Amino acid sequence: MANREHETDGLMNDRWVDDRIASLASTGDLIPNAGIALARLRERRRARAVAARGAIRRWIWTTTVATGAGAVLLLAPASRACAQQPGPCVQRVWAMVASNSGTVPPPVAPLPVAKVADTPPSSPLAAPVAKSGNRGTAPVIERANFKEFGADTAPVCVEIYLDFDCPHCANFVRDVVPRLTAEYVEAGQVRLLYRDFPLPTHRFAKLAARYADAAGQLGYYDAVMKQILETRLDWDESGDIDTQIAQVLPADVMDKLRERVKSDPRLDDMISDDQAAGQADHLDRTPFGVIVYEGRRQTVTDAPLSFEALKKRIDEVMEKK
Amino acid sequence: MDARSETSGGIEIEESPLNFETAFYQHYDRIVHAIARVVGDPACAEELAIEVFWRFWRNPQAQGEKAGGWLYRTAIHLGLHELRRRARHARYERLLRFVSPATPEEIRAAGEEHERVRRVLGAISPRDAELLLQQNNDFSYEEMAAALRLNPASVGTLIGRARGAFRKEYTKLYGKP
Repeated sequence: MANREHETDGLMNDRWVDDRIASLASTGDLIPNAGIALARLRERRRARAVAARGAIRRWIWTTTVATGAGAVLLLAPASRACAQQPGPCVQRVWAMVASNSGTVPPPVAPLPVAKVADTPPSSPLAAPVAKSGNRGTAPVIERANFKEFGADTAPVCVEIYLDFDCPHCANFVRDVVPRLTAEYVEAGQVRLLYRDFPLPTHRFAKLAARYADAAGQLGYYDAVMKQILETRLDWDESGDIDTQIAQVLPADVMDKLRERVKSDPRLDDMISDDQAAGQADHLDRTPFGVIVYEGRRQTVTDAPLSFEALKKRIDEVMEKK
Repeated sequence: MDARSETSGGIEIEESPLNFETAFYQHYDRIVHAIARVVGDPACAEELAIEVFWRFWRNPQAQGEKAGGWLYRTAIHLGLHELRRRARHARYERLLRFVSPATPEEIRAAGEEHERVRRVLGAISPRDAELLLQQNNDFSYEEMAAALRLNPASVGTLIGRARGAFRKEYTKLYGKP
């Protein structure tokens, strides 16, 4: 009897709790707006990309100014005078200042600005590229988006989804990108952005994307990306992408690259982000193009993705400006 | 790569099993309502639903056949997180009560049963709260075990304990029912 009462109490307790939880009713008049929510999701993604680029640019600018200021301190004559004779150095500097008509101080030397190395003529305007055989230490630029080429102020962005094991993508980069660069990117009208979309049917396509992105982290995206595409037939069976890339990078950079490909988890995040974007853009082939203008995305459905097809779309949106 | 894709000038791919946008439109309303049940605030529910789909977007592995379950679990998780955040906020506010006494609206809301339930859910352990909400939404024991990384054989026992924890916390806050 006592056990039965205990069981009954337990059941009543369970029912009491379940009734409390079930009493949580959603508001009947709630009508979610999916369209607005989706637009806000896309805007959030774009804002994230812009913020990351801005943060990196600020970091590069701060470092450059600090380096330049240090260089001026080291090279300015007053510094040497102080080093030679700490005591009278102040007098020397004062004498230098006083010698310029007493009121106008000597002109300040312009701060040297660290230049990006000259880009090879065959490449779009890009991060520094080292040629093979150059054993000097290459600059390491951790850009948020090293896959972006062209002026930040360009009104149109052309996004190209690539699979590194796709022959059409290789043709596109070899034949279409130089024309696009010459006519639009260098004129400051278009910004070119590459996105990774390794197809599941290509066994080593994702590995190739990891190599290209890791090289981008080290400032060598353009050269490595092209090398990977041009030597596709040499690695698509074996997966030995490393040997192909080693032909265009110095040995010390290759070591860093291998380490990143092996263990940097951000590479997979980058690829996943691009794949998610591709799905949202209804990607159905590679190479696949999207024109972005004033926050609006327009996919280029022409196949093949030719220079003429892109030119037509770019000119159309530019006319609306 | 086949002959058709060669002539079309690109490698055509099969439509991905779960296009993100399709999944979004398919599940968005349900996710908003599920969160609204937990948090009781429609505007907050829509904000949290966007967060759910943001995480879904960044997690391609979740975009498969079981996307619905992943979305729902994440929605409940974020809803309960919001309840716990409010509970912490309420505790800090009580410390300052001598400065700002409760408004009539706050007093009325605290008396409403569903607000009490939400407060209790925010106060008990996250696992217990998730178990109670999922069980109330007809999730199977296998689904609950998978979501919370539990042994399916122990889900029944854990739900019993969750109910006990809920009643104990309710009694502690509002007296014996």
